[in-house]
Amino acid sequence: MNIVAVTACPAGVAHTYMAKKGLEKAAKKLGHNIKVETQGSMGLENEIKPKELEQADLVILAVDTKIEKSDRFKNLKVYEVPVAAAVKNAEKVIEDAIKKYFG
Amino acid sequence: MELESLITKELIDFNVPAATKEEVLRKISAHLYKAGRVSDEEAYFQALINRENATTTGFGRGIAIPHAKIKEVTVPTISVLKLNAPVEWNSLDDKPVNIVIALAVPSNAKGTIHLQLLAKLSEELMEDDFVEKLHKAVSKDEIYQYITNVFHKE
Repeated sequence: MNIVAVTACPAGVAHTYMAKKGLEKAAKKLGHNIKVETQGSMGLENEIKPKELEQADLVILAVDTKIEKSDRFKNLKVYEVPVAAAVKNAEKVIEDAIKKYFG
Repeated sequence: MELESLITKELIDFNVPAATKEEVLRKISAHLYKAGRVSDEEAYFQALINRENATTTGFGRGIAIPHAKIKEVTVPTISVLKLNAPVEWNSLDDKPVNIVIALAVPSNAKGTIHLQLLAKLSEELMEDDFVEKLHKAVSKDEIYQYITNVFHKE
């Protein structure tokens, strides 16, 4: 499955990047492709490209704050969780997201 | 600025006695104030508490990363405390914390190398072997080495 994700937290110093790593590791383990964009204190990094968005089966938002460019995801299958969920157990986040939209 | 200025051996402490999360955060605030890293001890303490109240920074496996990004921080800083006994932190895995990695970031920091290094360190904390190394470390030198190694990692 092709997944795109955004992680963001209020300070944008630590959890944004922990959640990114968590999702990347979990996706690899579960055999999915994932692109994780971070919206932290350094602004928008590893930005999701239009082509990646086009090919995305699923969007995961692990965010505790309002994100930029959220209109990119309208009409897509979006699963939103607090950033801590992706730090604690990113595998579960991905599995739950898939379960929600793909049964 | 040297990358290593983010953390010095003076900012690492072992066998720190503390009964509560608040006490740990008090000690960190006092330490960073004395080290000239924050200009207002109370402001930094309050910011750490506010952050904890929003959501816990105890991410599991015995480690917490309290942090604050405020104007009263004068130098971007990483400080590491190993506690002499685990402290309750309402962690994501419900386990108490015995390693505290405190981050202090000036509010005007934007796109700096220091933020990139903190991001790198945060990512590395998701690696089990890195966490294991921090738990096993018995000297300031070891902790210093492990953390600065992360900065130099590609």
